[in-house]
Amino acid sequence: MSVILETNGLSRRFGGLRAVGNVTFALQDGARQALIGPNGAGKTTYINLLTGVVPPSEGRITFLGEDITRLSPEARVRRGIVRTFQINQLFDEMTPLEAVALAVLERDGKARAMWRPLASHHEALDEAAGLLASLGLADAMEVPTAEISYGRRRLLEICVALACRPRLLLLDEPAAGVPEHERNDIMNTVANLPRTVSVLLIEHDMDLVFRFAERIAVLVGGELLVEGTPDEVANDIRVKEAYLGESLDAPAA
Amino acid sequence: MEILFWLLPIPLFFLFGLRLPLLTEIAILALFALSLDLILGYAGIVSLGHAAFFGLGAYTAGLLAVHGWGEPITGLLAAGAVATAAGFVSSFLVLRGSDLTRLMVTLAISMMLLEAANRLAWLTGGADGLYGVTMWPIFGIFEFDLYGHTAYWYSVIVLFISFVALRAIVNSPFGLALRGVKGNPLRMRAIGAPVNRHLVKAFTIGAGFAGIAGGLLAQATQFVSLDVLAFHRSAEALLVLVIGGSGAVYGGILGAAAFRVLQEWLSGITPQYWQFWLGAGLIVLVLFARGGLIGLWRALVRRLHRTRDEEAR
Ligand SMILES: Nc1ncnc2c1ncn2[C@@H]1O[C@H](COP(=O)(O)OP(=O)(O)O)[C@@H](O)[C@H]1O
Ligand SMILES: [Mg+2]
Repeated sequence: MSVILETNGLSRRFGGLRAVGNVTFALQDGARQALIGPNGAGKTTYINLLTGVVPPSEGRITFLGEDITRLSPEARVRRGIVRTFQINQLFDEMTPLEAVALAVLERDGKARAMWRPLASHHEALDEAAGLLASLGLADAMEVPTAEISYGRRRLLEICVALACRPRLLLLDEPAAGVPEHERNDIMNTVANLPRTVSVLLIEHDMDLVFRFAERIAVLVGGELLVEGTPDEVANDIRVKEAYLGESLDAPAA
Repeated sequence: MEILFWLLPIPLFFLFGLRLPLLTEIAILALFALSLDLILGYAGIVSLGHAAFFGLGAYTAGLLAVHGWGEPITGLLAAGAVATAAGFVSSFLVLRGSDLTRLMVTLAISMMLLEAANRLAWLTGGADGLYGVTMWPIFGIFEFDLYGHTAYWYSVIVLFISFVALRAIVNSPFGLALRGVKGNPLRMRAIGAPVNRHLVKAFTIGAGFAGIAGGLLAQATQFVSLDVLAFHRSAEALLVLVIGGSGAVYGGILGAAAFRVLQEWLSGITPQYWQFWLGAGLIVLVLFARGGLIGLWRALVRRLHRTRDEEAR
């Protein structure tokens, strides 16, 4: 197996606060990796660094052998680093079909096209419809986004990301706040992704984490505390301490 | 329905033969508002200085005619081209900042142009205005007549062609991308969209059509005054979109018609207070019909459909 993503001494300070500190970490191609840690540990900030929304204070990011530390967020998406958001970031004024088609069109550089109506871009619309259907959203395609259930909006968030054809998918708490009966849809979707997509999953629900992950990284106070197999992490004394006696099977605060 | 709408200018021509200049003005204002709608209603770029591009177009067309090139269609294209170029260059200044900065920068650009036009009196006629705009016949056939017949049809046709082009743009993938940028720029960046490039393009195209509207005014009235660059012109276009509804291609046209007719009517019955009544009307509209006239129309259509569905059941 080869390394798809690597960070070296990656840090980010906000004023006096070190949100991410000196994280050196490598992700294998095709990985099923979870990133866990208490609230405020710096998990979202780490994703913001990887996607380029937030510039690092120190350190380097390498993706597929290329130094992408200074690359714009758009350029990183084009190289295949795609994320979902902890808080839904959708287009409320669009239907899911339009939103996913827009991602497809942007990916193919066709969103510049001005003279042919959207309705005549059959390839993009068909691809979007197929993608939505494969995530079980076929019946919600034309419903205004705001009228879809929260759990399915979380799925749509993933669907939009998949439309970008990610090589590396960064999922920021995809199941957070989703009622029990809709959680499985989300985790099945993630579990069924092809191995050509590497996945880094942030999640608080330890059931989901242990079901999905082949490796787990633990971030505490911005620093990478432990990285290993689920067994190694579950039995690590430092991890237990960091969670202050909370059982790892219970969702962390 | 749409065909009927675009046939309206024909009966209007016969019904209001003596008010044609007003109708011509409405067509020009509608085009100007449409150009602002692309920028504001679709791309979400706020602007208080859209008159800058209108004025540039007006002076371009006017100056060409004064200096010996009175051919209307190429003059209009030149007006659009100059405004497009200016829009492209200024977009980099405008798009840098937040909404508040954008308001300030657009306002500043239009005020600088107004001041420049005022100072360059040898070129623009300054406060006296630019006289001697003589237009050649359109296609060498249709003379601009005293009654404004030619100007009317010319303006209506230019409005129609621009409308078709702008509607094609907003219904294209690019139009969808603009809605995306307006709706959620964070998400747009996360799908790898070149947000800034989209905005530059929208601003540039909007400026170009504003230039065509300005050129049209210069040619139709055969006169250009500093007024084309004035703040109240930018404000007027904003009001038209509030009245008609923004982010909807017909909004600009309905709004322009309603605004000018209302203005005429109110200033006729209360010459001193018409602005007060216009303001009062706007407040009512904003309170009770956020989507403007086009929003009301859509709500009406929805309700009709619903009652029809219920009757069918
Ligand atoms: N843009 C920001 N400005 C200032 N502080 C921030 C910013 N983003 C995150 N932080 C801080 O960085 C720390 C880590 O936050 P975050 O990455 O969201 O943690 P997590 O996702 O693990 O819960 C928190 O203390 C948070 O308040
Ligand atoms: Mg977080």
